[in-house]
Amino acid sequence: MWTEPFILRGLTAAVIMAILASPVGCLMIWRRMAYFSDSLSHSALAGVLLGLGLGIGQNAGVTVLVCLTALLLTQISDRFVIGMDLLLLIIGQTALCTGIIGFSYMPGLRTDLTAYLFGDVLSVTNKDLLFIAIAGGFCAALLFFYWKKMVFSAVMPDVAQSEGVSFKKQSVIFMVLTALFVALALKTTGLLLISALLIIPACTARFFAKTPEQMAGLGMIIGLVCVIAGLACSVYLDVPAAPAMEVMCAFFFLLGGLAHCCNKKIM
Amino acid sequence: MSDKMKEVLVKLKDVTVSFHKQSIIDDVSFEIFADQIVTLIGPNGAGKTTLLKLILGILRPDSGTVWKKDGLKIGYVPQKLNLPRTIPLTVERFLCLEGRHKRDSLEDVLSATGAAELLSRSIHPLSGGEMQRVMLARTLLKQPELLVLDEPAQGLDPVGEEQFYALLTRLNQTKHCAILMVSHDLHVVMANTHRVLCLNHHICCSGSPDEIADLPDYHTLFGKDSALAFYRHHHDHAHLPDGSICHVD
Repeated sequence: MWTEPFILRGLTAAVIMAILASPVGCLMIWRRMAYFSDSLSHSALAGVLLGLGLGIGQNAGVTVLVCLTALLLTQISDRFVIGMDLLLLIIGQTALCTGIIGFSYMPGLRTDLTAYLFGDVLSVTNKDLLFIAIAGGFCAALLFFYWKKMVFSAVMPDVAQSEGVSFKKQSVIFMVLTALFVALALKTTGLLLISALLIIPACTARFFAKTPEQMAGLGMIIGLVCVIAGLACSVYLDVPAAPAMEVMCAFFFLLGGLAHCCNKKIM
Repeated sequence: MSDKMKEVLVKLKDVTVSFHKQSIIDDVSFEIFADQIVTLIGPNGAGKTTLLKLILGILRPDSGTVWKKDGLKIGYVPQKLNLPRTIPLTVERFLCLEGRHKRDSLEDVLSATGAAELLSRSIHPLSGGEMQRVMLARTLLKQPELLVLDEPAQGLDPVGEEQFYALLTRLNQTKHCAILMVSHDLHVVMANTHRVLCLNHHICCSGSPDEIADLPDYHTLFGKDSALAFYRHHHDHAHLPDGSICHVD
């Protein structure tokens, strides 16, 4: 069963996503921007329409629109009277609704809406896989070159800035990173579940990690276990893959939390 | 040693900054010399932190110039570290945030600030005093010529506070780094500082503690019981309610 090409393609896509999710999710958590991926992923639906409308393909459309939204968000000053968390909520919901309204005008696509919302990892094509590999490569390169600076900037923005690590530049890199991740994860998790798979494995790793790198590394392992287990559920029990992955993540989070609490005797 | 013999590290000339049309820093000029301890005092909202950020290069002035010696190495200890609890950090990893260092040099700087035993501890449960020592140790790793500290003893108990200022004075003498700090602990300021700058958007007065001490009402302010003295000193001008300045000539 596991050697079927469509399962192998889905597995590859899910594995790439799980490996990148943890470091990106960690940065997002440390920068207190957990809402950010939610808003960006919600704008992905409009990106699909844009891609189809312009005839550049939906992956390219999503990448372009999500990157543009992300860069637009970096331009909003933190002194703006409506806080970033509120703005993200407004932008995210609006983007989602606009996308759904747009979809209702495209009879051919209307049936695919669930696939875009909750993912359809087993329908990943070779073309999708190529895109996921390229976007994943970019993400990995950004993470590799800027990890240290992004961690520094997340811990002490002012001090980092005084030592030549520009907060603005790190923000732009972080947003592009997140946008690329949203684009590559869309097919696997669907836009409603991207945040969950981004955040939960990293949070679980937080219980046990002593350094930022341990948290990112452990989060990768947890993420991998979750997506493979989720995919197995999907294959054998015939349940939707992305929700199964999310439930796996939540299960490990619960286990991790319990182990942490027993260890620290907090509860 | 007179100021003229010393090297200038930082020189501000006619620096002005405003946010939302409100002037925060108004035509400020001063210099920081090598080896000098300069303390910035002034009421809340006087622009002290803004002035530090100008020197650190975090903010740019609207007009005027901030000149720094070529390749000047500055260490910065911010007012309060709002560390996200979600980030797992040991003291060791914290010290290596901007680059890798040998374990020996980490141990060296931690012992220099009296925090040697903290190296492998997690940073989150540290007390305020321990945290200040660790942050100070981090700045020492790159052998700074200028240390910039924003209310470094905030939140320390009186004993911890005194120890911390003693540590700063020691670093100034042994490592020969100049220190620019914001402080409200005037009794310590007066004892350990070479120069005091009083800021209220503009520089109200500046000079050595002795010069300030010569001001007429010094004795009522910094008498025997200096620790309890309430800070008030003579200005040659007054601030009117509309924000304008009236000179008392």
